[in-house]
Amino acid sequence: MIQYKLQQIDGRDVAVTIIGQNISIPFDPDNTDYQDYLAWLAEGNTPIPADE
Amino acid sequence: MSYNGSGTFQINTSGQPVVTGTVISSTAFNSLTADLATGLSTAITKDGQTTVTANIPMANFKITGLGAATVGTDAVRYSQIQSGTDKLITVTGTDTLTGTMTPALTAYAAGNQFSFVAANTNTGAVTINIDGVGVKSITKNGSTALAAGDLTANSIALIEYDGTRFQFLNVGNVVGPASSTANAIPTFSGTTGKLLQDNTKVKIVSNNITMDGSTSGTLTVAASAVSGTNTLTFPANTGTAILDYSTPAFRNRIINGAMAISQRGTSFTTSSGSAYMVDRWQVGATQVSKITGTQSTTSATGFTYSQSLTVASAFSSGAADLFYLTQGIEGFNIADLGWGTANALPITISFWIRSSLTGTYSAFVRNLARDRSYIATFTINSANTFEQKTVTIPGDTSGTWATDNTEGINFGIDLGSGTNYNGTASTWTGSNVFRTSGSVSWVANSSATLFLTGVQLEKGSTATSFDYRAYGTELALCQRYYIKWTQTANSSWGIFEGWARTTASFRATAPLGIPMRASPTSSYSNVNINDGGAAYTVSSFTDLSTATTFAVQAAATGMTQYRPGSLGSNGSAAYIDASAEL
Repeated sequence: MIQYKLQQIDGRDVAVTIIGQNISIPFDPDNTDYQDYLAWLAEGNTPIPADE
Repeated sequence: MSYNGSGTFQINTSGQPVVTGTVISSTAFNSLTADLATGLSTAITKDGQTTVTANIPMANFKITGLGAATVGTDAVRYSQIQSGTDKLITVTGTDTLTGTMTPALTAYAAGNQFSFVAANTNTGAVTINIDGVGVKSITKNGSTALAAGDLTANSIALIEYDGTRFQFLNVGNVVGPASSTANAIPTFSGTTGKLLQDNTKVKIVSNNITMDGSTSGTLTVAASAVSGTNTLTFPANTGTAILDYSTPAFRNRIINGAMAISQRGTSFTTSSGSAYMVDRWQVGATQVSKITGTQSTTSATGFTYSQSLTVASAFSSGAADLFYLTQGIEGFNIADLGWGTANALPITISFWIRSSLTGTYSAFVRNLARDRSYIATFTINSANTFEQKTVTIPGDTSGTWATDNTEGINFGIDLGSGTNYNGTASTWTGSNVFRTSGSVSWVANSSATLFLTGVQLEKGSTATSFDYRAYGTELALCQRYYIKWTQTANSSWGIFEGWARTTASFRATAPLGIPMRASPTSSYSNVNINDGGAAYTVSSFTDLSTATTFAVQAAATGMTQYRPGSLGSNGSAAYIDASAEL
């Protein structure tokens, strides 16, 4: 099961990564990886919060 | 005496002139009356009693009030020439023509030209008999018999007698079909027919020149035999689809159809399910590790590479499983097709494919919402042999088809998806279907292979030759969707330069040479940060990119704030990539 984790810059969520993958997905509505993340959220899933 | 030969009437002078008071000699009188009789008998009588016995010199005077000629030996009244009665034949019949003229023709002579209005469209070879003079063939281009349709009902035919036959002079000046056959194209059954004579202009008014038929056609602009320039001029593009169907630029809407660009490597797995292969091509899969792929040098003639797929683990698809090889085409690149409108244009997809399994396969196109789809089946006839396949798909006048930077058309070839995706071939369907029930379930066959190359998707109903583009051009097209920066092991320089924003974050940015479709997803492998004094292990990237600038913030620990450094190899072969795939 895929698991997303939020990523922050200066306290603001700007991207997500996928646990276990060296990947970062920007919050761009035209980015299809971001669209997959939104679909994942729509299924009721919750991302891991960003590191403090 | 009478006329002196020059037109002067002379009286006999014997006994003349008579004298007053004297008796006129009978001899003189009789001579006079004889001369008068001779003179009057020699003159032309107005009631036509006399017959002219010699040519009459008119000394530039006209014969006026002349009656119209009715037989061939009558003098011609000028108005008869003006009305063309000497050339015009009244004709009856279809292939065996009977002609009549007024005055009636009495003989054919080489050089005689006549015209007539065809009563009917001929159905084969044609003969004519004018005023019973004799039956003669009407031929074209010398002695070639007329073909059906050379004479068109109500059209004017011009013929000339060559001493043996009548030759049809205006064979090339085809008069269009009768109004009852609107939109029909004049046809030529001969091999040398031409539309119009030389030195004329062809003007098409509100219509098209159409090549039609079961084979092929060519519209040729012939080179001039003398110095000069022949120009084929197209109008300004003020309407829709001026250069319809064969736009010379970007004819192939598929990118990397020759499978020559492969930035991700040359061998691929589906260990996470769906996975990209050579650039722009993706295996869609709901099951992991069933299919592997390579950029193969086994290819069709004329191509160097193919995308090869192999069934790594045979799988019998459940109803909801999907397996296909696909490419999404950006909406900007298919906007001119007019799909989703009443003016939707057809597309033709051609490709070279080879499979270890013969049978029926399904190619498909879908829209972004996956609520419009079209299945086009094709047959692989011989196992392990490259075969070129062509399918033509009518433009979709329904649905929503993106014309922006999102996916316009999704093209693919099914590899054995489940029954949920079964549909009917050769028709538009308002749901997400992309295979027929009878299509080969390729993924269900252990070690099955499939090779694909030379894929072209173009506007129109005809497949043209593959649109080879320069390698650099094709690479640039690919890099709008994916770009990969690589570095060999132990390289002494970085992939990107940057600086330590904090002791735990390093920021690197670089302009993208090719603006990407969207802000890209970044990923990396074997990358660390090196500031010249020490190397720091990267624990993660946070992507800050836009479509025009690649930017990441790499997390590490122990760096010196504000010190510049580089992102690069940690000692092993490294890469950083950016993906904005559809």
